[in-house]
Amino acid sequence: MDCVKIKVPVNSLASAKIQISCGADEIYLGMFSPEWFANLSFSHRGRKNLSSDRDGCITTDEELKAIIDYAHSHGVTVSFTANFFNLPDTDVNEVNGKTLSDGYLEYVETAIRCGVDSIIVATLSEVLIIRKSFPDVKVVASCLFMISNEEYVKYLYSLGVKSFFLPHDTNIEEIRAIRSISEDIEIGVFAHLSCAMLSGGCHLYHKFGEAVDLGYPCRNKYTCKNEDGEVEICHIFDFNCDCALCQVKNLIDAGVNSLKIIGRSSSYKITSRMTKVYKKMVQTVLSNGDCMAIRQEIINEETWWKSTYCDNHACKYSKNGKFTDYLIG
Amino acid sequence: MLNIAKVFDNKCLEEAKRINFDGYCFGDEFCFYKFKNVTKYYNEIKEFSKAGKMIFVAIPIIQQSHLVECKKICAELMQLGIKIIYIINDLGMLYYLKTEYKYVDYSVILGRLLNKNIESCPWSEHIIRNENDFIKKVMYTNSANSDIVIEHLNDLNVKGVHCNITQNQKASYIKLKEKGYLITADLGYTYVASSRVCITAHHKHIKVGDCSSICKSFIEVTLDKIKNVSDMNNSLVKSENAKELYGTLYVNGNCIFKKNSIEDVPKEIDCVMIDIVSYLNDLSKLEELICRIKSLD
Repeated sequence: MDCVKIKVPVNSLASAKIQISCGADEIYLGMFSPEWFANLSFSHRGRKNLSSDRDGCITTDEELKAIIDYAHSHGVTVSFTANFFNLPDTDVNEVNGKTLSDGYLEYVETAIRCGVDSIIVATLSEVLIIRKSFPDVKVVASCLFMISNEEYVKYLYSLGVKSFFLPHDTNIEEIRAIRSISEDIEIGVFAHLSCAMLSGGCHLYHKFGEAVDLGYPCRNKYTCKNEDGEVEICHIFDFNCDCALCQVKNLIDAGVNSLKIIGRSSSYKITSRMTKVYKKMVQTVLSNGDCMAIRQEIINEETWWKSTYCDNHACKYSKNGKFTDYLIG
Repeated sequence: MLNIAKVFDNKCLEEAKRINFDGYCFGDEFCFYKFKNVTKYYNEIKEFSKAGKMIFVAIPIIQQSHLVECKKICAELMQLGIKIIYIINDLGMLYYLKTEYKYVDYSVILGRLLNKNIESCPWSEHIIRNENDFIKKVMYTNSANSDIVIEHLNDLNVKGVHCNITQNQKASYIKLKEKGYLITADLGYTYVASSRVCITAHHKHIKVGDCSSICKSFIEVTLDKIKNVSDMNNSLVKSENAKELYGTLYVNGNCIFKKNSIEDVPKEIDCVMIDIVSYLNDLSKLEELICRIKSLD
């Protein structure tokens, strides 16, 4: 494979410039739709809240256009998040005579008009709506679909979807098997950080414009009481495997086309460091360089990396991860 | 309103047989290891079907590494020659069954991972607190309420949805029933989240595969401290406001639930499913519950 994209989040023109300078090959972003929502958005992110550094989405068509133009002028593609979780079409808004599905379609239409290269979706209804109105637009199935097997990929492929993001807990063998069903598909996976729960099946919503700091539901500490009354205070939901650095070569060998950095609501000062790190590793792999030497160099530069990830065995995609014994499948 | 027993093992089956349920649900919505228990009960499935009982089989998300085994089990089920309603949580399996078993008489209802509404979130009211009345109404609508989706899913043998029981779903159910959908729902626990890592097995340090005994109990979980995300040292802080929003959660197997109550069951639901395993410690409650479900008609 001669090209593996680093796909990174942006939430402003300034963040897009920084991320592109750090090596982003593709940026992804979403927009608020104040005509529909106060806090929520069609982009699976809410307004800025206590646990966010800033809004997870941009606010105007003009800013979107400026980001797209800047990205394209630097050879970087732009993916647009239109990954809402619920689009019933049974109720009509009395104010504008439209359904929420109509609003969603307008949201996507705006992005296409501004020049985005692909649309990231999360549900079957979104695929069907976009395919009907914009049959030629590239649709990317996000991890919220929870694509777990080759039949799932075949199904979405039959609906015209050719780009798939697999859940963070898919292992290398599974990625290879799914990848092998067609040359005509793109497979993306998470590079850094992830959720502990199945993303598309998790209702512990946070960063949705809440006024109370909920922390991170899967990383908080809980009081756990067994049926026999025994009590333990622990991180019962923390199965987070955050780092894929040592697995970049294996992922690329398995046929992965893009590595995604998450953190639309986080400061780009942090996410851009991840962009740099993974870009460096991908370039090393693609040029047949010494991955372990680069890993050491990265750990020397980013001194907190080892204590945060390596010492905690927080390794993604590894056969011998710390949660392997407890995996269902 | 029909009552359906969810059967996990022999003990559940024994109790389910003792009480005259209208139907039986085998397999599992969230765990492959529980799902494959269905292979032990083919004879019972045939007997129950012969006796006119409804038969459901729940299929969870199927990981690529379990795909072959799952297909084999589905083939065995199809060969039983009886009408089974599959509760499917994996669009890949939905597609596979339709392409592989075009001429077999089976139907599908969408599992709780494939139909959603915001009410499954413990703090849903807080999330939509500032939205207008239209958005609030829409957010409380089940995601299956979409003509384009229903039309598409008809071709994949989908005839209904398996829902969570929450307080504001009545209007949603009415609309789905107008489309001819069967509405089934789980009484007792509302699904909140699940993980590929078994939460219970990890918590109790028992390997997955050796874990069936611990899956009969629930762990009660309340928030202690939240992770302070603005602090690079990952410190933890107390937050009474957050604690109130989280409420009490319940862990069983690889899932997180919150409790629901029979008072929240609208009459539009066709079948109420009861997980027998939740009542094994107090079977008198189970009998009382069945009486109350029957009185809802």
